[in-house]
Amino acid sequence: MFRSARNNGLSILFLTLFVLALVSQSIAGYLENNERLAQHSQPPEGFMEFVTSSEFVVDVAENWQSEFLQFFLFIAATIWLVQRGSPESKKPGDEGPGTDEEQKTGEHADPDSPEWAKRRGLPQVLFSNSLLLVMGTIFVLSWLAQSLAGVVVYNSENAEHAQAAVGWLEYLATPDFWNRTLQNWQSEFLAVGAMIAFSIFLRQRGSSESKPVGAPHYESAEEAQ
Amino acid sequence: MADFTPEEAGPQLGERVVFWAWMSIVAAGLIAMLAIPLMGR
Repeated sequence: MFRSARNNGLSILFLTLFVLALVSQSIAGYLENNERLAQHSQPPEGFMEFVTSSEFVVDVAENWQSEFLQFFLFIAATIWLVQRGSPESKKPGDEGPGTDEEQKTGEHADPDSPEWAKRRGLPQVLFSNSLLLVMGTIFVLSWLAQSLAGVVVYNSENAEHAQAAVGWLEYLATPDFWNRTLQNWQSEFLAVGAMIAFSIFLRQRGSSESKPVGAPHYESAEEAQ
Repeated sequence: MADFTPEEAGPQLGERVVFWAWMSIVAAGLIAMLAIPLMGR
């Protein structure tokens, strides 16, 4: 039991933080929503009514999509681009998807390599890109959820001000949709860029996200190991 | 030289549980976030 918790500590920590943050967000959002309803002389909503409403969904989904976009772009960009000195990057000259020998695929697979790495054709192509495919799919679906919930909230606010409802496609061209989207994207790109740049010259002893403390500043991830 | 013993080298139940737990959370979240606005709530 203890060994299992030790072996999976990172996942357990982030699962706990995720649940705590989501529950806290739902409580804060519920209270804020009822404050707004009171300001408009409307009756308060129940908690379950709020967490199963588009008001709550749009706030959750706009953050989900930007996080998965961040990882999708980072995984894709690090195939072809490098940052000399960053532990987040391969070393200059190693750009590209790598050879079968480097990637241990096909006849270069080890006996304990995953089954689909040993196979040729579509299974290997799918498995070779499975992380990017899954992150990209989650990004697209959560961005779609943001847009679907966003139009419901947008139309409900329009109705309060006696304005006409818009369709989903019309909503995609509104400042509301792009403001919700871009305010999340800018912070993700800033954080990733800063992490890549700061990790060239800064260290965190013991973290897998950092080069060893004594590694030269010019060394990238694979050189430093 | 890997720093684990041979008995730890293979895929373990714990890793599978972690992987499918996260997949389930994300899938359930996406289904709920798509279904709620589609129901007009």
